[in-house]
Order: sequence, then structure tokens, then C-alpha cells
Amino acid sequence: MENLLIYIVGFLAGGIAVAFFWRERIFRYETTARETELRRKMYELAILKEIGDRIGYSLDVEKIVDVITGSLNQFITYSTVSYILVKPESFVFKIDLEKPISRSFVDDVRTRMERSLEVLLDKKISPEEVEERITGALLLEDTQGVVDTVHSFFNIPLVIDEKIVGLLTIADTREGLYKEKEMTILYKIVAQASQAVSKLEHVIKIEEAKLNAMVESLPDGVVMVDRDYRIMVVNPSAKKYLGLEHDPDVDIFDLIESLGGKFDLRTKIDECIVADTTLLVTEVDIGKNFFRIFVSPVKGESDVVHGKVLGGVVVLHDITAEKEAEKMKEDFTAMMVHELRSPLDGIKKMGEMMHGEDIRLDKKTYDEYIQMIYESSSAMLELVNDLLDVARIQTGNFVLSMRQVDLRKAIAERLRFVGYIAKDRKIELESKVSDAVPLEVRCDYTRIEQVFDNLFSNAIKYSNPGGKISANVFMHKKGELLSKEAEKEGVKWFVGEKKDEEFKNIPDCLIAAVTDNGVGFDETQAEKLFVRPEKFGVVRRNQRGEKSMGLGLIKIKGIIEAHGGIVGAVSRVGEGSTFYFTINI
Amino acid sequence: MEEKEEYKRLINEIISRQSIILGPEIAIMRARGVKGLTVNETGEVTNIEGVAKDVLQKLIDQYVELSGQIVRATLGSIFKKYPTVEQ
Amino acid sequence: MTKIPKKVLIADDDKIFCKIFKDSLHRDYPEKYEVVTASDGEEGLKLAMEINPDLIVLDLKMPKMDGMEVLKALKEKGIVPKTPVLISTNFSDMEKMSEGFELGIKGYVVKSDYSLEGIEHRIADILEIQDEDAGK
Repeated sequence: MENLLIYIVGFLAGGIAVAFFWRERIFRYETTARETELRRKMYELAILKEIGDRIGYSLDVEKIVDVITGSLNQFITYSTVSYILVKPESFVFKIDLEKPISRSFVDDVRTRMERSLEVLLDKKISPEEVEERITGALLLEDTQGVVDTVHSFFNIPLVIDEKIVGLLTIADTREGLYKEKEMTILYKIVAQASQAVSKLEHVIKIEEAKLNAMVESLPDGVVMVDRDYRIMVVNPSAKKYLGLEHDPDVDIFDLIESLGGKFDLRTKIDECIVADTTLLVTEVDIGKNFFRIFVSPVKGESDVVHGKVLGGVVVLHDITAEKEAEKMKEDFTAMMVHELRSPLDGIKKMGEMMHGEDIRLDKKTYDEYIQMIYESSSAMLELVNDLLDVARIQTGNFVLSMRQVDLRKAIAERLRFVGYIAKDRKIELESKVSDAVPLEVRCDYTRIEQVFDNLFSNAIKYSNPGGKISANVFMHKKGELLSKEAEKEGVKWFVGEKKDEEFKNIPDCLIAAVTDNGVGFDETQAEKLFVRPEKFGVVRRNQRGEKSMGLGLIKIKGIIEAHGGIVGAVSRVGEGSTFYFTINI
Repeated sequence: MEEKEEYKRLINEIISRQSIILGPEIAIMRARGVKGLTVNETGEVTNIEGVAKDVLQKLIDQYVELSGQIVRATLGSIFKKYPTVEQ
Repeated sequence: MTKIPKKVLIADDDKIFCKIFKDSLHRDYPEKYEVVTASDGEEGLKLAMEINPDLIVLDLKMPKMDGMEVLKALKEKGIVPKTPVLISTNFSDMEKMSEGFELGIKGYVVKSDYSLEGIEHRIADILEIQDEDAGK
């Protein structure tokens, strides 16, 4: 009886023990599986993070693959891990030996990899094209009698941006070593890394394209060279400035030639790199143009190349227009000074003349001199006033004092003022103000007076004896044809239908025009009349040789535009001209 | 059936090409994982069950899972030899 | 001893200068000078060829033909450097001066830097004429 009990207990105990044991096993098995899974996941993450950190923006496939293979032995065993990289003109076969292995093994791995790549790339690979690198454990030459054979292996294609960039291979002497699960995970890891790189490359390509587009369209010329003076960037503007537009392949010698000794490119780049600063060279003339040239070193920013000098960049800034404007201002100023100095000198010399006793006795000559002094000083004063006004207009310090003005009265007065000179030169004056024009118009009285003064005196200056000057004022309605409106008012002028288009959409306003039948001017030059004289540096003279500085018209333009109106001029050479302006109602 | 024979030959070619590209073990392992496809240890197709077209698609999917869309490009030349089969 | 008055041609577009200089020469050196004036380059060249002056006072900035053009034409015609030319200007145009000397001018004077008397002395020096009134 006790025996049975012992058996039962023993059996039970055994059973329980077995049960426990079983559970332990299953439990441990599950834990191990989960652990492994976890480890693999960690490995995946680690790889990706390392790629992100270590490589940054340097998309060096070799580095990426090194990172992957470097950590591989953590969760998979192998005799060798190897990769072949597809380079532009060659292939690199790198194999890392985890343990001493024979040369025949290495060759076998290489052959299989080459065959795989040949299928993938659809082209033959010849042995000369492949650069071999062997690292890690000892390579046993076949003469030593050891022959290892490849029994387990798998290849992982490296694809970036849908292009085959290489092949990664794990190989071992033992058979059936690799489980599908392990292999699949590796494929996944590589695929993910490749995707990340592809995305990165894509982003970089876009940014590069943006940058290129910007550099291409810069008006400044940009040339970048690396430390060996190979041209890395030369944009269209640079080519244009250096006269190399038709040269598809610009090299450093082309540049040096174009600069023709005016600018020592290589020395300047060396200098700026040594000094680690931007150098500025002003006023270099190349061909017919002037440039301001900036030379700067180009330094790496990212962790990998931080602070390293990658080359130099040269920026050509065209200052030809600036220089021309400068010169013209200088010329204009010189001219202004001359125009003022001559009459002043004249007055001074007349003063000299008038010292003597005898001159005071000669009343006729005395009076003549007094008159000349008066004219000279008036002319100078007028010039100075004009200069001040124009300066004020240009700096926007032009202030109008608006009031209600009787235009009819204003015009009559101005005509009376120039009446004497006109009569002297046998020129007839007339004016017609349309009934439709309001009795009073809002404008700056003094300034509008000046406008009429200027237009009348110009008309007189450019008229011949026996000529006629007419002033016309009439109304314009928006949408109406200017020529028809003028015709209705009986206005005889040179504008005709030329300005109909321009005036169609101009709102209701008043038109004032001064027409003469004098020498006229070349209409193609019309726009130049109202523009700053320093642009043309010329003192204009009329048919009698009388000088004019051209400031008056600029002043008129300034005054009328300050009123919100427009000015214009039309002419026929030898027949006469019409100068017109508008005032808003 | 003629058609099935076509598919068998086609799939055989695919498997053998993938064996070169990826390595025989993984290529065959993947093929064997396809439902409806019976493959022996040397990588030869012994039977196709069900709609051959679907089986082919699943096989290709297996390889795409490993090495991405690039698979299609590499298989292009094989498909050319079987014009009757849908790409 | 009646000397033949020296013919002086003044070519200058500044009518005031022409007038006062003419008056001044007549007043300070009575009967020594016969002054002819021209108000533009064309007229100046024409008169130079017509009257064959003993001295030309030539302004640089004139209409129709400027001083330099007139000078070049005079050189071509052989009038210069036989006839002394004094360039008068209010423009400090140094480059033009050296060109002028190449063409054979006798000298130049910047009008505003000189008094009337000063310019008269320059002319007198060139023509070696004595002042009528020594104690001026």
C-alpha cells in the first residue's frame, strides 16, 4: 500500500515537475523570442539614428553601408560581410572577414556578387573595373591548403532613388545558417535606410535646384572655384560680363584671360582664404564695363567639413551705370558752376571798368553797363532758383499751397509780362480759354504762374520773327477723344490724334496748351526734354544761340505732377511745337 | 493546361534569376512561402494551385517586399519572353 | 609815330565779356588795338581767316564750333602757331590745355582768376606793346 502511494506521489511530483519544466521552457522560449525581436528593433533604430547623426548631409553610400555592416555582428553571425559599390567609372568590392577565411571563399563571394550585379545592372562587369579591399581577419592564401566554401549567403541590393548603387552580401561557410526571418529583417533595414537616403537626396536635389536657379538668374556674376581652381559654378551673368557667353566649358584659364591682367584672380582668392575674410576690389574695368568685385572664401558648415576651406567665390557687381551717373553728375555740376561763374566774373569785371572817372561821364556806356549787370544777375538768380526748385522736387520737398485761382486772369498777366520781349522779336501772342473752364480752379497760383512763364518764354525763344504763340485752355471729359474735344474748341495745335489713346481713360480735367510755330524739335527726343539734364550733360541752344539749362521743363513736370496732372510735348521740326499739361478738377 | 505550363516556366525563370540576385536560399524560401505555389528544394516549380496569375503576382510581391520596386525592372526581360502573360 | 593798331580777335560766346574787354582795351590802350569780336566758333574761324589778326583770344566753349575745333582748323590752315593764340576759359580743363600747347598756343588764362588789367597785360606781353600810362 505505501508503495502505491509513493508511486502516485512520485508520479504526481514528476508530473508537476514536468509541467513546470515545460512551462519554464515555453516561457523562456517566448521571452527569448521577444528579446530577440526587441534587440532587432533596437538594431533597426540604432542604424537609422546613426545614419542620421554620423552622416548628416553627406550622402556617402559607402559610409551608410559601413554603418550597417559595422553593427551587423551584433545579431547575425557570418564568415564575411561584403559590399560592392557602383561608382561612376568603377566598382569597389570591400569584404570584411569575421574570421580567417581562404582566398577561394573570398573569390567565390565576389563572383556571386558580380553575377548578381550584372543581372541587376544588365551589363557585364570586367575584373579590371573592380577595386578590391579586404579587411578584418586573416586572409588565407590557397597555397596554405585551406579551402573554405560558401554554403550560406544572401545578397541585399542597395537602391537609392530607384537606382542600383550597390550590393550587400552576408556569407558563411556553414550551411543553412540563415533563417528567413533574420534575412528579411536585414532586407527591411537596408530598404528603410535606402529610403531615408533617397528622400534626403531628393530634398537635397530640390534645394540644390532652387539654389542653382537663384544663382543662374542673379544679375551679379558669380564664379566659384575649389581649392584646385577647378570651376564649380559660373553663372550666365558672369559669362556675359567676361565675354564668355558662347563658351560651353569655362575653365580657370578662360577666366584669367578675360580678366586680362586687370584683376589677379588666383592671388586674390589665395589672399582671401589666408585672411579668412571678404576682399573688395572696386572699379575694375573689364571690356567697356566697370565692376565692383568681391572675393570670399567658401567654408564648410556641416559637422563633417566644419571650418574646412572648400574654395573661393568671386562676385562681379556691375557698377557701370553707377559710374556713368556719377560722371554725369560731375559734368553737370561743372557745367552749372561754369554757368554761374561766367556772369559773376562778368559783373566783377564790369565793376572794374566802372571805377574810372571817365566812365561816369560817358552816360550811355554807363547805362549800358548797368543794364548788363542787371541782366546777368537776373539770369543767375533765375538759374539758382531753378536749381533749388529742381532739387526740392527731386527730394520730394515740394510743397504746394493750393487756392482758388482765376486762370483767365493768370494767363492774361503772364502774357502781358512776356509781351515786351515778344513785341521786340515781332512775335504775336494770343490766348483762348473755353467757356466750359470754371471761373476758378484749385491750384498753386505762384507755381502755375511759373509754368506759364516758362512755357511762354520757351515758345518765344524757339520762335522766329513773325511767328505766333497761342495759349489754349479747355476741358477734357473721361472717355472722350482729346482730338475731337480740341477740334470743337477750335484749338490749333500739333497734338492731333497722337494722345487720344493716352487720354481716353484719364478722368475729367483741364487741358492747357502753348503752341508755337517756331523751329520745333525731334519728337523722338520728347521724353528727354522733361528729364534731369545731367542725363545728357548738354546745354541746349536755340536757333539764336541762346542757352538754356533745361531746368525749366523739369520744374514744370515737377509742379504739374505734384498737382496730380501730366505734361507732354509734341512737335514737327521746322513747323513748331505744342507743350501741354493737365490740372485735375 | 498550356497556360499553367507557361506560368510554370515563367516562374521558374523568375526564381532562378532571383537566386542569382538575392542568393538561392532566400529566393527559394520566399517562393515556397507563396500560397498555391509548390517549389522543391532546388527551386523548381512542381505545382501551381488556383489562379496562376494571382500566384505570379504574390510571388513578385514577395520579392518586392525584400528588395523593392527594382524587382520589376530586373524581371522585365523575362516577361518579354512570355507575351501572353499579363505584366 | 603812328603805329598800326594791332588786330585782336576775341572769339567768345559771352557777349558781355566781349563788350567789356573790347571797351577796356580801347580805354587803356587807345589806338593800339583794333578789336573784332565773334560769338561762335564758326564766325571766329571765318574772321580769323579774313582779317589775319595779330592775336586771337579764343574761348573753349562756344556754339557751332568749340574752341578746340577752331584751333585745330587754324593749325591746319597754318594760321597757328604763326599767330599767337591765348585760350581764355572759365573751365579748368587741364587736359585740353596740354592738347592746346601741342597745337601751338601761346598760353591760356582762366578768366575768373584774372582781372581785366591782368588779361590786358598778358596780351601786351605777347605783342610786346608798352603801356601808354606807365603809372597805372
